[in-house]
Amino acid sequence: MTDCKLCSLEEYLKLIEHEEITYAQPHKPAIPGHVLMIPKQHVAIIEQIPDEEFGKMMVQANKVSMALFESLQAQGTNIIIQNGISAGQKDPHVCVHVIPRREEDGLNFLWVPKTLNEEEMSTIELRIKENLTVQLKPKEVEPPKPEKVTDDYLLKQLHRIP
Amino acid sequence: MADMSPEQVEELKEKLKNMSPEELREFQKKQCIFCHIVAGRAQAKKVYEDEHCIGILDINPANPGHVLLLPKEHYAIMPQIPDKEIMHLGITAKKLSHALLRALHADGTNIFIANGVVAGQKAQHFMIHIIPRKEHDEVGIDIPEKLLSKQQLQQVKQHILPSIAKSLGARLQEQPVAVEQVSPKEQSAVPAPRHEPREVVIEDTPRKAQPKAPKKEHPKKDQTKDEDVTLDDIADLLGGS
Repeated sequence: MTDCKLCSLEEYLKLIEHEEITYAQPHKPAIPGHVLMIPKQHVAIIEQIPDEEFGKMMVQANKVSMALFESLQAQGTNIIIQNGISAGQKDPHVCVHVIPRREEDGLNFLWVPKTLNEEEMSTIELRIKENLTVQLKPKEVEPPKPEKVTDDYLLKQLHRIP
Repeated sequence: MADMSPEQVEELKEKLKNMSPEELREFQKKQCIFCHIVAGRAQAKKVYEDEHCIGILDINPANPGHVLLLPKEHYAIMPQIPDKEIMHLGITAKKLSHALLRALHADGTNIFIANGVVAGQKAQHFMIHIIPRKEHDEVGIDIPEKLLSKQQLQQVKQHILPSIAKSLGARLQEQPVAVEQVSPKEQSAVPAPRHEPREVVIEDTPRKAQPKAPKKEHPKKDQTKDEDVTLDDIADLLGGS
């Protein structure tokens, strides 16, 4: 996609490309060492990525995280995906943020917890479970259709042989 | 743990020191509330369960529907988890994200992992947070932006790229000259040229005692600049942010 900054890597410094993912540093990182994992294929949200590929991305994110632990002597790492504009996504192209952390680094991703009553929690629990049941329901497998007997005269000849 | 006297704390520390890794792990599991939830000994609102992991609602959610996805096995941080399990957790997280979008009519989701206390990890059991988001919900997982100069970015790149390539099992595209600089930052007797063919003999300059942290064992260094980038330079960058 020509307009996409993550496809063109405008405002990003490429580190390396490996197995259909580009690893880059943003020009404006949260902190030095902030790495982005950008699928080469232009996909807007994670739901568009096949399951197995997404699983592999998480494995690779862990590897990048370990590399940051080692190379920067980081004391921790955050792995963040912003899936959708409301979640903070700035460009319509999936990316995984891997951010090295240190004590008193000035970053804070913690949220203020909300309070829900028992009824609200139970309602939400039910709605999520129902949706997952639909999502994970095994697809109905159609029984194999019986093969049509072909009108092959050679077969007929075979049958005639006493 | 908060109710223990100083003597009890010391006794426990001593006990922990002498434990084998397996004993330590068993001890951690006994203390871990999430292991109790997995075992069914503690209550939680389970929205998902399979052979390897469970998804429960967070009782202190960032937003209604905030799900915690935990491996059933006790792991403290992600680097301890085998790749196969991470893959499964990733696929499950994606499914849960989809479920939240549909079930709760969310506008988006955050997938958030905290490795280590400084990163915001609150429990000793690894988990993936899947948080449904709506417009103007003020959840606050915003990633700030700070402008770095090209030189600073290059410095960081030099430092992290070899580790990342090694960790991924990837080849570095640029195969620059690897003239091993044995001498520290200050001028050596024979300054190393910027680019040379690999066959050139490593310069035999005397090693001087240096107070700085020892370099990592990377045989190839991306020497696009003449200066050597050390951990102190990176630490300054990080300290300055």
